[in-house]
Amino acid sequence: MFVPRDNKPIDFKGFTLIYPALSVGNVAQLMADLLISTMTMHKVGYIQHPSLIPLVGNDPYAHPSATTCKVVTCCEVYDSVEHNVVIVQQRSPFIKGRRNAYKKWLAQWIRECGFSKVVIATSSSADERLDTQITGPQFRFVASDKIEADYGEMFRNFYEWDELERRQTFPAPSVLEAGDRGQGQLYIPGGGIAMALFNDLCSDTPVVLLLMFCSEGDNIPEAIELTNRINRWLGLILFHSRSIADASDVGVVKYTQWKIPVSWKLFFGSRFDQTLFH
Amino acid sequence: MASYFGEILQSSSRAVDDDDDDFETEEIATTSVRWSPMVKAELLKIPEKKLPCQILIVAIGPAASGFVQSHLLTDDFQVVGALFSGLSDSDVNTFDQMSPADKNCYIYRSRQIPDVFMCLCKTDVSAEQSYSWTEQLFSCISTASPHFYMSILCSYMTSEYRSEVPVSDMNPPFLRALKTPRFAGTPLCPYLEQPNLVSGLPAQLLTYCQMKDVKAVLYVCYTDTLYLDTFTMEVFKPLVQSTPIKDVFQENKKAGEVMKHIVDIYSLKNSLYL
Repeated sequence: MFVPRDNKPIDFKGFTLIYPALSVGNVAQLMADLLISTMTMHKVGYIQHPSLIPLVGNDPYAHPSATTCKVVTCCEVYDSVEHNVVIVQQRSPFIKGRRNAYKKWLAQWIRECGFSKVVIATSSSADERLDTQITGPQFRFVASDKIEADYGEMFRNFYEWDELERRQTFPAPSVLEAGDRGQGQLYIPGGGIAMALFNDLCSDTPVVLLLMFCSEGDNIPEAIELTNRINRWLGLILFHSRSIADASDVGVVKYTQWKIPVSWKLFFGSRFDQTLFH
Repeated sequence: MASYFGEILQSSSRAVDDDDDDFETEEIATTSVRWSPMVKAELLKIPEKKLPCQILIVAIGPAASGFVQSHLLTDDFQVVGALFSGLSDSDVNTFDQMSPADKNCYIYRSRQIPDVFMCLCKTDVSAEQSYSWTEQLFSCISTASPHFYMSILCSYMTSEYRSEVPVSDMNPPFLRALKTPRFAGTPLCPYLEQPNLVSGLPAQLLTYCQMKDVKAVLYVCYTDTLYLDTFTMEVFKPLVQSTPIKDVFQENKKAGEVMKHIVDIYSLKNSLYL
């Protein structure tokens, strides 16, 4: 269930929801971290569900020299009224076998909130790509009918995004002819609950699924690319190539790059202890 | 993905398990709680059906439980309830908690001050059970009092502690803390630094307190010994001067003896060679 912070009821009507699905390489969650950190989004509530493995830690978006304590839990909801965006950030995996239960609850909650559109971000295993997907941009999108009507042309022609290719049969590697939208099925290996959630919501909610192909390892480049593409579409942050010195409008934040949160420190663990080799 | 020898291997992900959907479980393993007849009779008289509580101390793991058992659990405390999670028919249980394999977690209450509770959880409560365990614990204990304080003690191995400073320079065992916003005091040790995390039952308890917006503090002891020893239990000793433990603590001369006895119980299990 969603527990609003400070027990104040919140209205998400009209906001855009960005939901990062737990997927291979954690790319979508890294993307959410970058967005929340750079836009300094405000935590508005917690999601408490028996399907999530519990987790606590100190503030992941704190200033590196901060000495205070702000507890972060396994699944939290952040919003930015200025950018009209809500992000659900999940930090721990699902308990085995309970993924579907969570997806059902999440789909129902999303409907109740009345978001204007839902962006599901995910990633897919690079080793199951089709031949045509191996080269070129590793980014794909899947749009529901409403999003296709509003943004389909912009995605394809203006941004030159590629739509995720459908497969004739699973798991045969053949690809259908372009334009055959009615047939074949979408296959997102390693995408977590993204596909199932998309299928659940696409009939009545404007929802789009954005994904990156990746292999596990250092997935920061994929996360940055996914963030850049989402940012380009939603227009969340305008980056300046250099700080503008003669800023006449005081108080306007000048962004130059994505702000890496402090929780990304020691990504691959501590350095080895030198005393090992004495 | 192709391996070095040329055969195709299924790649596995640290983040997601694609076989998860094949394994759909409707049966959720739950924890159950049992209260003593005395408590049950009291609950009947209370309209909210929850026992009033000002101080709740939960110790998770052998080190924290050992500290609480030796320093805080005096004869004044009586067992008022127990939590059972994941018991199977082959599990051994002793009613006086004298076996390291004991899987039940007893809830104690002070006779003199009936709103002081302690719970010792020596067994490993899995992440799946944590939600249910927490729900059951708070099913009959109220957090509504404005003076409610909760203290959670647990321990982790130093191998799980990430820091730029090598762990050998940090002189393990050492303590770290996390607290909810309502907890006004400053813990006796540094806050747990990013990117370190606590998961499992201690995390679920702190999450519950965070959501209920009550005062709670979590102390984690990072130790590098596999087997329980007095040094690890003693690292919690400074906490007897901290809120809320200081309100419960009474000088106990037998503490050292009890600690040694606890270490002996665990060492019997640990000796590979006699």
